[in-house]
Amino acid sequence: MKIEETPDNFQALDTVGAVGNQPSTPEGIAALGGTEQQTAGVTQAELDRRAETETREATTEGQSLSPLQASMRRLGRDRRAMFFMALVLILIVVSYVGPLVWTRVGPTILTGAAGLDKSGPASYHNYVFEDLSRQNANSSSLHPFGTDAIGRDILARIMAGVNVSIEVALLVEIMDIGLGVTIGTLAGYYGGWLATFLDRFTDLMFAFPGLLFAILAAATLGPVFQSRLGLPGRLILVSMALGISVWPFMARLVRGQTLQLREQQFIEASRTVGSSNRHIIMSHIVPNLFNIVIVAATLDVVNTIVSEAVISLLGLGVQTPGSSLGLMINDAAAVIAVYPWEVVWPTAVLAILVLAFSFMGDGVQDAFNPRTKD
Amino acid sequence: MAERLLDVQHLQTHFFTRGGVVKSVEDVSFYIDEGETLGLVGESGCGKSVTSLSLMRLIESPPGKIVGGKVLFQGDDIVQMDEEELHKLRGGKIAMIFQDPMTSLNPLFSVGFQIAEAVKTHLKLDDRAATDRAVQMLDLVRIPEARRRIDHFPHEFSGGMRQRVMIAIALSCNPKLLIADEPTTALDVTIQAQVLDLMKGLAQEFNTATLLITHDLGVVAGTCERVAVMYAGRIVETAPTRTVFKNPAHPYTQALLNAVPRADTPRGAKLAAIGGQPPNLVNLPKGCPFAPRCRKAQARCRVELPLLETVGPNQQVACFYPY
Amino acid sequence: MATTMPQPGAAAPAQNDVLVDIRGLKVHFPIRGGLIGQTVAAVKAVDGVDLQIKRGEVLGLVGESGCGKSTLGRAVLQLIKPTAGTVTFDGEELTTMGTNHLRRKRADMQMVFQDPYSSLDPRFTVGNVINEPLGNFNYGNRAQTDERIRYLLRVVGMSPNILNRYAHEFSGGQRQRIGIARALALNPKFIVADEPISALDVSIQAQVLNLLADLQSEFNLTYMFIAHNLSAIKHLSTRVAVMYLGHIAEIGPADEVYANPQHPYTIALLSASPYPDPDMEKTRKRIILTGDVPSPVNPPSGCPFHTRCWKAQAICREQYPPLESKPGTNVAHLAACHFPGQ
Repeated sequence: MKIEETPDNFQALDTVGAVGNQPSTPEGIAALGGTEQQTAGVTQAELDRRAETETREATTEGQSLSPLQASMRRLGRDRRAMFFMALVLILIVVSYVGPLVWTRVGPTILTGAAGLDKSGPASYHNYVFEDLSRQNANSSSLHPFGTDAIGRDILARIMAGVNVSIEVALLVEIMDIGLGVTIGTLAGYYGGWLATFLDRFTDLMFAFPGLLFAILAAATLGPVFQSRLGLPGRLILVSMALGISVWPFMARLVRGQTLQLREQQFIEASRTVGSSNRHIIMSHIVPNLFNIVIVAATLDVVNTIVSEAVISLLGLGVQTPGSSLGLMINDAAAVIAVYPWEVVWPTAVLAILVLAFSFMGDGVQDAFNPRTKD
Repeated sequence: MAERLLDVQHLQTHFFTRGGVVKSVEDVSFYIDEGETLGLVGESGCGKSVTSLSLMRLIESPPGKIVGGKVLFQGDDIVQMDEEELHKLRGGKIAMIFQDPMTSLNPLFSVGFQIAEAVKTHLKLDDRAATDRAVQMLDLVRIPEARRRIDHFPHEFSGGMRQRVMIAIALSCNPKLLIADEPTTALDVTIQAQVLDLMKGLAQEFNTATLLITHDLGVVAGTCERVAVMYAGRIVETAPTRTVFKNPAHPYTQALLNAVPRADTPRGAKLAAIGGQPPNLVNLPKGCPFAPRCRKAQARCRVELPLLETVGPNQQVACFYPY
Repeated sequence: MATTMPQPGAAAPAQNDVLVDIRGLKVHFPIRGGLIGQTVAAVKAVDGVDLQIKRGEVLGLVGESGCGKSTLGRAVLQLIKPTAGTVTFDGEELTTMGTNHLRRKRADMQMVFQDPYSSLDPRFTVGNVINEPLGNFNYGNRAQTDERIRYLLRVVGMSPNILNRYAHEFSGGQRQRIGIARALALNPKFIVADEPISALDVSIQAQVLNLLADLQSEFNLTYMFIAHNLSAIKHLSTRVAVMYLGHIAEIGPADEVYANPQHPYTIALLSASPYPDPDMEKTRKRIILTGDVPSPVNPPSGCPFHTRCWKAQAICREQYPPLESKPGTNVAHLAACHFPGQ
């Protein structure tokens, strides 16, 4: 019954290419049909007159900026943010490209406990290589940052450690944004049990600090993951544990914004023109979440990097011979009185990394959420 | 003859923003006599609210600044006053009410307290006398059971009542001048009628002069003695109310009046709409700011700026080709 | 289309000249509270409305904020699910229609919104905005869609060159035009215009009123024009319905209602609305109502207006007056009052 009742007007819309179609509402189709029929309702002169009165100024102005372009332009003008963004990029590039170069730079030397093994830079500038003839070495042209207690090159280990920080941050953000945006949007848009679940879960996470949760997870499940997945197992575990503890906050933020967006008239307008819920979420809600998500994610990176360092510092994260800034600080803590630089170098790099992300985050916040500033 | 209470001369208020200098008020001159009601009419963005805030020196600085002109109130220039003098003036001799009564009342204090606070500062009354005054004022603005309602908080009042409370606060210190910035825009028609009726009655009773800022010509017609019409930061016409409505001189005033459907406009007939959009206050066109939208504009209007000139009894207009 | 479906619950079959037939429509919004979030009360936004809108007419719906006029408009379009009652559109019952069927039906009934700012997505270009309905209904290929969008922009008096610009660059009046173009995109039969001019400046209001009037005759549209501005309503409407607290207080041909109002609320409303003529303002009799609109959670018994009415008698507090034609008025002019007339 319902299907047969399909309104003629709609039918015509569906088969718009077929001009021979005989619609029952002729004036309805006239304007839809094609160019020559379009002026059925309005005369050309009338159209010209209207266009003349209204958009004179609008056509003379320059090309317009999308909200994203406008934000990027604001960010581009923010010198401090650009400086720290460059710093972040340099750190990332150096930590990934650096080892490729570093393992090719240097003479062939004698290494090993007895000093009898011939090694090239591919060995002694590798972050896992132990040169027992050069333990706790001072800064030199061979090891600019010196070596640690078992003769590993500190520069190589710092670069590997920064890699870990970045990778953990990336994995956590994927989880954070993926889960947070999906669940937050759905909970905000539909409400119901999902919203209740989200509320309770976030409350739980509030009551039970995320870092503590990650530490416990790393301590109890660490060995299992390591035995199954090898060394990266620990890294994945730490990332997952941190990810689980941060996404509810992102989800709550997203839900709040979604609730606000849902009240906007353009959502209602979209429904009025026949959009499905899916379409409304994908083309109106999610794009409008972009700003708050990008800001929150940038600021979350800082927490993630610190948390990963803390977990490794406690010896629950990346295990030796793997490297992590936290693990390096932990390893060197025992000899801090004698060889302070072994603590100073990783700590300094960690501090620079955190500060750079944090200042960049401030800039991103100003650029994407200009209203929060004043 | 009533004394001149407020005399605004060539007031200029600019806002210095990243996008350029916004010349919100570019050349505004008008006066108000004691006990008189002047309507300041214009569309949004024409500078009428900035004008009222400038009179009270409430322009946020930066980015705003009064860059020129005088505001003589009982002979003293408000533009030159220091903080202490301003403090005495605001709420004492000049009071102000705004469009949104919810944001201008403090939600944390009872309305009685807020009225009493004002009178204690300006009239130097003790607590008991101040409370009595608060009750008396609420009575005057026809809030039922005033004695009981003074302990109520703003959210317990409806929009119309809150605006009446604002009027009570404003008038509690016997000001000489009341500045009402779109006082009824947020209210419904029947409530608007109540509030306007009340304002009119009380202004007469207290012999308070009123500057009524509005975009609604209907409101002006029923309440004001004189009208000043503003466009793009300038006064373009000022005249007694009846003259403005019956014999408007500026094309903009004429267009505004014609744009509103009247009792005798046939259904569906074309309204004489004003084409285009109000100008951008950063990049004002040379010459008369209304010229791009004006039906009568000549070559001269696009190069030369017309200044206010007297064209009839008490009627001034800034136009080369009036009527 | 000529064969009308017998609708369960609808007393009379929809006549062909009636496009929208609203019967016994109620919209109650539950207020939840208590320990387990149970419904403790309801905002009775629309509380039993019968209304027929004929093809090609402009029905003006007037009332103060909170009277339920916007809710009624949305309930007709099924943007809000009615609590009770039926809405028959073009012979089809909307309240029981399935989601997908209703979505397709939306091509015929559109809305113009009050707020020109929040009704356009800030991340959409003008082209995106108007393309949305066309995309939803698979209008055609890229070139056809583009042509249609340009045509619609010209219809509402905008230059087609603005297609790739963002809505935030336009003023309120221009944005309202873009919203109107979106509403016209699917060639609707019926448009609910919810306070389309109240957020605009006086000089721009006239532009938009003119445009709405032009479009109505050009495209043979039927409007439900919601406003609180009485002169705008009168200018555009053939018929006027006055709402108070979820009920229709008075309805009739526009000229009739304005010239000879029957319900005291209509009389008060007409007398309270300011008029841009100082002579008239001085001479005419004004009725200033006391008090505020009562809460729609606990509407007064009997006639909802009796708390502010100067004519109210005992019967008004007890009995809701039927909406009926009063002696000495046009048969199409109905009022819900025990003591009608001046």
